[in-house]
Amino acid sequence: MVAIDLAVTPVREANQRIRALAAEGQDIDIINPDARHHIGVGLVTPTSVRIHGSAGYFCAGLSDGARFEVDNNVGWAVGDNMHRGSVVVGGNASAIAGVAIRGAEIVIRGNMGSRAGQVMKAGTLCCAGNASFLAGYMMYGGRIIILGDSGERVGEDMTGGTIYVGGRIVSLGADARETDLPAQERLEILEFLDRYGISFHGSLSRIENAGTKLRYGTPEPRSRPQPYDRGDEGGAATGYWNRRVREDIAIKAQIGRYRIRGYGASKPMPDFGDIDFARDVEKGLAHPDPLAAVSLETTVGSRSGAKPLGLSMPVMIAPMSYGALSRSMKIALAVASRLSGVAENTGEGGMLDRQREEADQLIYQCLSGRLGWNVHNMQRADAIEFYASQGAKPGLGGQLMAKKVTPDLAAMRGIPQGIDLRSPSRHPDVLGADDLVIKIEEFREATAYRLPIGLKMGAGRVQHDIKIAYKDGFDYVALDGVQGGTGAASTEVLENVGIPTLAAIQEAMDGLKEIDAGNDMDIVLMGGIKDGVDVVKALALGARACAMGTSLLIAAGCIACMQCHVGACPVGIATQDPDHEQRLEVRTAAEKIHRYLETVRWQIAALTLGLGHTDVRQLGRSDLVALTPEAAALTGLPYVPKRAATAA
Amino acid sequence: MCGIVGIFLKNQALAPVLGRLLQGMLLEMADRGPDSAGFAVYRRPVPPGSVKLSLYATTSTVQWQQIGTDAEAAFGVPALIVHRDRHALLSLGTEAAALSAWMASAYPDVSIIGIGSEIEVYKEVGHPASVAEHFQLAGLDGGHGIGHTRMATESAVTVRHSHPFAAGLDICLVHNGSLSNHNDLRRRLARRGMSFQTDNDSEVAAAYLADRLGAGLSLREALITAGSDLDGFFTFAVGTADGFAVARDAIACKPAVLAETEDWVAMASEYRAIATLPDADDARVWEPKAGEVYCWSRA
Repeated sequence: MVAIDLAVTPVREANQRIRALAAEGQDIDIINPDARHHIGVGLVTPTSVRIHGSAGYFCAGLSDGARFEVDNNVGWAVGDNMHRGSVVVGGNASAIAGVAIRGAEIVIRGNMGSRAGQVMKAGTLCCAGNASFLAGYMMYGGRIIILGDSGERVGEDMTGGTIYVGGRIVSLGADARETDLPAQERLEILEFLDRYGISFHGSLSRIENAGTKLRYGTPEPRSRPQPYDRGDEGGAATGYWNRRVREDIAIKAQIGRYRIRGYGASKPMPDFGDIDFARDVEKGLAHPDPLAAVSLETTVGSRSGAKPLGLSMPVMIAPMSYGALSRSMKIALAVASRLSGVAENTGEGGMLDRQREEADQLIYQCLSGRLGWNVHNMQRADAIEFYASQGAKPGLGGQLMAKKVTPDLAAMRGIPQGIDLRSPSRHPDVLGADDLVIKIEEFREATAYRLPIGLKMGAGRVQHDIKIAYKDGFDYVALDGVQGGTGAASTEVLENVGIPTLAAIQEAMDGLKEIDAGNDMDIVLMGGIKDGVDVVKALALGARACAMGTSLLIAAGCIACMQCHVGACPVGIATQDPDHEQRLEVRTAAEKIHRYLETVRWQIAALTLGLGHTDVRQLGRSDLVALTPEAAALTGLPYVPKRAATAA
Repeated sequence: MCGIVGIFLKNQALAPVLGRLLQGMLLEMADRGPDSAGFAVYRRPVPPGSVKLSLYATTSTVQWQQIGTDAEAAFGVPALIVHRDRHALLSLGTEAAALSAWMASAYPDVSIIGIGSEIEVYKEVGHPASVAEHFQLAGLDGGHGIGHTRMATESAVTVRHSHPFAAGLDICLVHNGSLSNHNDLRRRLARRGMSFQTDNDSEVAAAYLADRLGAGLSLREALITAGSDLDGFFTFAVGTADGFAVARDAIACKPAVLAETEDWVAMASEYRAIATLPDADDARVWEPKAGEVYCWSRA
């Protein structure tokens, strides 16, 4: 036993010592914990940690294999995302005890707060006292044992797993139902309680998912998206009620709900085509070797002193999930990212081993459902991205239709297979900028302050949100406009919720200027970035780098049928069906993406040179003009319509 | 987006150290709100028929002694003014409404940030530790107090935007959360004669409470109607002359912990603030329920 006194040792240093001592096989006593946050975060070596007092938020969070004992109370999210190991709390637990656990055993001897076990995947959360409201909210698996009263709406929108209640069921949540308790399950529970020295002789009720909300009802008929075009047939009158409008009404009349499709907004909105370069760029285009004449190397995410991403050009691959995309496509993107010296991003749903091996630099995303999220992948990533939302569907979680939720994918994400997966729209442990500060600190503790932590943010009210991101200490912000793609979202949201990428970057720069933030927090802009021309314009408006998604899928062979959600992608990119996936050859796809990225590189260099610079960081607003009044209004660039004539 | 704390003494033997206890709690919430801090302490009531104002001057050239002299001349009774930089306490034997009306016309650059017989409100921009030091919070005695650390997310970082917000005689409010319908509510309250100093959503919540209390509702009733009239998420702590109250929105979005011993009742955004109190390890600790109102008072 070695004692660490938190009255004199900061938590960051204490966690380093805990890891070192655990590696030596020592057990650890924490004295004077004073409800400090993050005690034991990131510990992946089996050992025993005894906390003599109360612990704060995220006690034992993002850990694997250790046994924690807390004499008194714990704050929010005890055992967050814990794999193996256990936490025994002598007193009460605050909200979201056992959030997102993946196999650990969490035992609370007193009462526990609201939303206990939210989005948990496996393991046991046991409370000897009473639970507060929404216990088991959106849980995907594992079991919750509540020996006292259940609290209101127990099991609300649970997808899988089981909840046992010894006391009164105050009220059942949506899509939860009470069932009989098989004798075998009762024995298993008593064995568990016995192991933790909890005596219980009462009866238990059993609650499980009722299965009424796991799948959409009537399937949507397959159709190609109709163009925004009022002149398709018979003049203005029918033009108003054009084919697109009529089809939309007809399909909704059939299925009785919103429609879903892939890709981003398709309706006409201002984009990078509505701004142009302020000067002729022929000089750059005519240069024999622009790549040799222009410096393109870019780092992203050094604000906190973490090791930044190092990019060979100001480009990275946009976050797209294994799930929305096939395994082959994710590996092809990883290979291409290495060949072109840029960063790949996992998107939602976890990290593939091959993806990690192939990509030199890999960003690992944390989403609300914590699907495929774990400390081991965090520790082998090159940057962590906290997903708040995306440009195609700000404010909503991911969607993955049942056809894509294969056994392999379900296991990786820790969810039941074959459900229409609708990820939560909110993170369980972040309900505001103040909580977010503490969450980011947990990530930093889990990765020893080594990695940049970014925020992925769909463009909504960017001018406010960017200030929050700055205040919360993010190393970079990945900002995503309405033209950004997605594997599945409702058409109403796709077309009507986000704001144009062009407006988003401008709002971000305005917001940062308002608080004199300088330029130490990098902006990675995405959302419909097609080529190097768009990248140069984005950089000139203030972005540090751009991320490309849809354009790289098209480079790999995507035909833009926009039916990504169906799961029957004809070219093997957005599918989990092996027959379809085999149509995509990894090496060939990777080489196509790589070749396209190299044309992007050449464009960036040639245009930068053409504008009279030798380094992409010299690009600025004076390099741009607006071609339309709308673009001028959004960006504040001078309105120079005559450039449109020259450009044409 | 913030941290909030409150402490209510059941054992008056602790009154001399109230400020020290409140400061200990407040500083634990500094990470949640590094931009500004404020607190209200209920202490040393003025005699019946008198009123105590907490004042904040928007200009650095304020002449506090002159304000005291002018007030004495205007009301014909002695005034007591105690000041520190831009903040002052003014006590005078007159009606609260008359004194605030006089202040507003004679010194429009001076804001009344607290009014009543016991309440004293202090708030300043900067790190909570420096704000507590500036006002020497640790040395203040009193029966109860509430505090706030602010992380500004939408409106500016100024003293006027800082909490607590006064909501009537001896009443003030601190808020953790964010309201969505504050613009609409502000317009409606303005039509009913309320005035506003900022674009801050929490100020609207305070004005809402003042309006409801003015309409005859009890504090508990006003906080219950707040649950349906305010759209958004909130944990409120409210101080009154003889007690304090805590309320949460219907889905308890923002964290809150309550604790009680024989000697005190305390509320905080996080348990670590409560852990600083004497005998915290033996306290009854619980999470206040969503949509519930908790009140304590000496009566």
